[in-house]
Amino acid sequence: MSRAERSLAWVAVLLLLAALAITVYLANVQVTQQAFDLGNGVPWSFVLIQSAQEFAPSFALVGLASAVGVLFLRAARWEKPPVLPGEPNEPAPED
Amino acid sequence: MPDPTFDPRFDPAFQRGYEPEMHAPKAPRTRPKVEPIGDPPAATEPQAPELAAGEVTPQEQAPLRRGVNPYIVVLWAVGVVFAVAGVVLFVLVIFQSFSSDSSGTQPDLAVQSFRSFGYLFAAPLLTVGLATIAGVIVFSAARVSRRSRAQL
Repeated sequence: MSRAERSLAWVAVLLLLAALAITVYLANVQVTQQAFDLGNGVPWSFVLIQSAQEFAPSFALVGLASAVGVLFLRAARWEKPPVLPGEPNEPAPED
Repeated sequence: MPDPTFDPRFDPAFQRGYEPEMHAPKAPRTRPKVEPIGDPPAATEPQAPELAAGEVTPQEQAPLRRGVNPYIVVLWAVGVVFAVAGVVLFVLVIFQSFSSDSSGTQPDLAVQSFRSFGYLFAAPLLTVGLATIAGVIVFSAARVSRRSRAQL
């Protein structure tokens, strides 16, 4: 596995884990029904939840795409294995 | 009678003037070397780079097995599974949210997590699945095109 493929795989894992963590966090927030005090200063928890809600689909999308990208890179680098000495040759496709 | 000259490109046994007693090869016959007719055309494409010592050309490598790229098979499976999973997940979440909201009780964390997961992941799954299928088709088409160009 090349360095680029390893990096892409790590990006995929991190983004998917982040998306899953945000999913569980949002579910927890909705279950506990937290109240936000919107009248006194910046409601940071509300900002955090809104941001997480916006970013999670992007994280999931890019994470999944990165995982598929690793497979594409591997497919592009793949080469057919050579025929071993004692192995029978396969017939040509035109036969 | 003068000795007939045979066209070296073809088997002499099938050419005019062939006598088996006279022209039959004594040793196992090898493919005759075909001399080029006329001057070869001037090279228009750049020549291949010089090979380093010990390096082999692709023609000298071991014969390759005609096989299927396993990563392409995996990508096909991933594309189809992602696309189907995206649609199924979305339908399940919609169905589940409608069926549980009628009772009026607050869902527990597992149900709510599944709902959030469905809302967040259904569209990316469908998008990446369809993009993967399209990418595999383009990848396969590029490979076939490159192979047919190499055979010309």
